[in-house]
Amino acid sequence: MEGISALLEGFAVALTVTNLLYALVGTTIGTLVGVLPGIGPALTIALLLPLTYGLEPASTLIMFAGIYYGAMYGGSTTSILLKTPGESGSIITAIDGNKMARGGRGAAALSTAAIGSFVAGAIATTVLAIAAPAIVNVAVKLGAHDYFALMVMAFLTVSALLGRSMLRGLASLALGLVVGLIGIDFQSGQARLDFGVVRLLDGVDIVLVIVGLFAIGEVLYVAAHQTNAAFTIASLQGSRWMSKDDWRRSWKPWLRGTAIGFPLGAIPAGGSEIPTFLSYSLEMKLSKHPEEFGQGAIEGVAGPEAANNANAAGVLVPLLTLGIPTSATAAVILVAFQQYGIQPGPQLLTTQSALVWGLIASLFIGNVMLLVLNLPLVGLWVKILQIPKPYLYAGITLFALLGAYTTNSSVFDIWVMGIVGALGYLMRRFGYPIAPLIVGAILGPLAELQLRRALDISAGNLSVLVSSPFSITVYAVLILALVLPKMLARRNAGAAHRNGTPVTG
Amino acid sequence: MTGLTSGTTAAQAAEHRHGGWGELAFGGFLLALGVVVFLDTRSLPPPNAASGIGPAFFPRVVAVVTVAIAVALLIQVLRGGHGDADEGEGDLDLSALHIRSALMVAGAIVMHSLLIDRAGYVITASLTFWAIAYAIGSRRYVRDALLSLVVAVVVYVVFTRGLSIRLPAGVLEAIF
Repeated sequence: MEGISALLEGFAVALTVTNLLYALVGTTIGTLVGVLPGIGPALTIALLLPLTYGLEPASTLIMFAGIYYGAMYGGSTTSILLKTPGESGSIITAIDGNKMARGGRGAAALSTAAIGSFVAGAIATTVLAIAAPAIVNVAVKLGAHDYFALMVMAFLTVSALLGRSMLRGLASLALGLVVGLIGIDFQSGQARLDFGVVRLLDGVDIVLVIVGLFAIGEVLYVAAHQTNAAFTIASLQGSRWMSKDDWRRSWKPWLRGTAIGFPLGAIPAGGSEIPTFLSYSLEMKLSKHPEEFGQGAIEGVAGPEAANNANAAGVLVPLLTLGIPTSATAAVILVAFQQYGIQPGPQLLTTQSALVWGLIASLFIGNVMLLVLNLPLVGLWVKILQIPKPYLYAGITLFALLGAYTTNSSVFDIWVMGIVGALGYLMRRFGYPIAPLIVGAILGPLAELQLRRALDISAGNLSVLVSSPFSITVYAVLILALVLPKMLARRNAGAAHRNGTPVTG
Repeated sequence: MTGLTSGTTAAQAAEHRHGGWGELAFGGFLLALGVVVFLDTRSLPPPNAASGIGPAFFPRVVAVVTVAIAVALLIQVLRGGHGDADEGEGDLDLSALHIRSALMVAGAIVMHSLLIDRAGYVITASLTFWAIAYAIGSRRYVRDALLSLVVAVVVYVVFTRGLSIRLPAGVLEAIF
């Protein structure tokens, strides 16, 4: 049980006053950005990256993990009260959650989401702590070609499973891979795609890409297409908390949501959307009152909200053990590791044992903090939603510009961010998902490294890529993973359709 | 606001046509990008590694993949397929395009980049905040202006004093 003793050491790291403070700051910021429409965890972490350069790695990562978990909690609040999902993982919650809120059961919906998130977070983090050392034992035996296979899997599942169109996801991924190529090649020292611009030799700073796509793209999108300059918030006044019946109906969906969310995050399968959809359709199938779904069924909130939190913990498994990010937020956390000269991978658990286990321990602590932040204090977050929309987006723009400028004190960076922002607008407008671009830009160079390593060893023989049982299995699973969810999603889309269209506008 | 008049079939059809051109442009852009990536690899020297894999190998793979996806995308669009726009965060209506608001946001960003090193952070950021708030629909000019100034000053003080991050003081150098 090396995991348990290591975890106890982790608590020693996480329970210092400084790190508790950073966990609190992280979970608070995370809930805030989860609640606020237009700003999510990936953008927030990207903006904070330049500011955390001088901090201890453990403190920074504990804060970032808090933001990641916190946004999952906060996103449900917006979904339920506004019917505009704060995060993609909360899209399905908006259907029944908002119906409950409009029917005077908003508080019950918020509680089942928060408690479900807590239950899922606690279970999933425990499984993470147990699974991580076991996966590392396998991962250390993998060769470069195996890693390349895993990265191809991450690429394809992130791009093909996110959003509705596989082709559009792949197009976004291709854009990201191109962005990742820009700059000096690490092995040969040759400049690629620099077009004679000296500032491009170091590549395009990933912070600019993320901030441009998420912040500027979003503000442009809202400015161009909004119909209403204010949000419509469902009131919590006079609504009741969870009744005995609500508890009875919630606990099983919490557990089932966890069971669906964690594994789908842990295998590089990308996206917190799919597990929430699966959980929703499962609950509907098992319910004695399937007709209530779409009209305010508490199971339709409890299951998906547990699933998206468990999924967040699951995503940390490939990130910490293999160095492979399967969501935009995980990709930014990978950049945070790189900022400290640490490359996540199987060696991480031995070389940075205190850091990793401190991080995992902080997730348990953060989870408790989040329950307190999101249940008794939920009224506070509702107040924050009353910030006028113009000020919210003006603030987002200002922080985006600040983040772009302060990285190098350079106006050139503002222009890069502006151009990426325009691209972000077009991608939203024409239905291209953003996350594959970010994963492609960050993971692309790492995939090239593994590919060239593998081919150097084989003296250029391409068959090395499918030379091990592991890589063959990965490619086989990949083909399955691409076909199976499509069939499930099609069935699920039909089911959701019968119950009123999910989140239109 | 014009955006409130939605749902008419004419508007939807117009939006569709509009979207069609945009879709084609996006596919064309991706195609051109793939070609550019490929052309760029021609200037790279031949590999000196034993494997014969040099700096041009991976970009070429990416270029070929990009072109293939772009072609598939263009075929899909020409056959009448189109993407579902992002559901976004709030009341959005894609049949309406507030071009002035969007240009104002873009203009505010350009202005920010041109002014920041000359006028300094506080003045530039105040103007930017005010302009974006206006573009998103705020019309309480005085309150907006006061808030803009407060936000800019707070950010400036917190960053330069609290976090020791340099921001240009500009013409207000004497005060800060």
